[in-house]
Amino acid sequence: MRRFIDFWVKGESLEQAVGLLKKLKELGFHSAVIEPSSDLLEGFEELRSEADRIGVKIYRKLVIEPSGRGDLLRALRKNRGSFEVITVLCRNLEAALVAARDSRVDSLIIPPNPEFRFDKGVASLIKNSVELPFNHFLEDKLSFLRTALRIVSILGRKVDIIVSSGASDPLELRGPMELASLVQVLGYSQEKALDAVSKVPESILEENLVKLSKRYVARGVLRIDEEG
Amino acid sequence: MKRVKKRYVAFSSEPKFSPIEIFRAVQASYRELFGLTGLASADLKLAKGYQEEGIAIIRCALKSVPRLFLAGAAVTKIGGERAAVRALTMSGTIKKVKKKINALKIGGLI
Repeated sequence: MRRFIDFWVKGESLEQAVGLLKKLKELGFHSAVIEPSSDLLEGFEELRSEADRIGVKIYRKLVIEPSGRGDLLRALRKNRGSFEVITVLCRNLEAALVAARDSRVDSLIIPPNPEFRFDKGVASLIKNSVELPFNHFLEDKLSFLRTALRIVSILGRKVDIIVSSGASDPLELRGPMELASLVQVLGYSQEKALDAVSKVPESILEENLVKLSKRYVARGVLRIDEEG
Repeated sequence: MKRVKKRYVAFSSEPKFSPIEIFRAVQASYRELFGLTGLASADLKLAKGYQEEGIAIIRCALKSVPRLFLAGAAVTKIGGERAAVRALTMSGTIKKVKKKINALKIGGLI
């Protein structure tokens, strides 16, 4: 059975985040990746216990909006060990080119009407998953669809695509089938579209949880002596 | 002539609006996203509505189901008020849709 994951919800306070989690559970999500505000980050364990009570697993997400290469690398060095997911919102080509290849980055967001030319040359460098936040679609449908169509047509077969809600309000949340319908309309099959809200984010989370565990030594090397 | 297969999709809104308002909002959203030709080929029809529960069951052509889901999800306002329209369930017959809605424990419709 598929386990649906909302790969981006914005948590501003404990009450607001609990409201979002309750709605996500109602909509059929198994897990949520939360971008916590600095206040919420301090009390994240409290939120985690609330989420367990509700029945939704939660993970921390950092969304970086770097001004350039140095800015991005500094942020990655500082935060990779503290967040399960790191996403880069690419506002310029320099940041996009670095984020596209860096293995510490989990997903890229290319905003509607990017200020750089997004062509096959840029696309050929992308190794990480590309995320399409549904709230960007709700804000400006035409620009979002124009960019998303380019992403799906150029990258659709090469890299994985994730659809998240990007919601900070329960009214911005949508069900898994509705999120999947976004890429289905852009040309994906139903199975592949559903993978964008289930299997693809799940594999990223699984991989990152292993990397963040104490057993992890290096890529492909795990310590097994502690548990016997 | 080949018969066009249909599907019935149940939508609810948050906050609750009347079925006709939900249908009009979804229809307008569909038209905005896929144009008049798309709307015509989807053959949308309000098959049944439940005023108290704020549920609209919309019939559409099978091929247009993903588009209908997206059109519903794209609704952000109904009658000038902030709202969200969400698909509850989908089936090939109204009877099954009602059964599924009842299973979701949203009122006793049957």
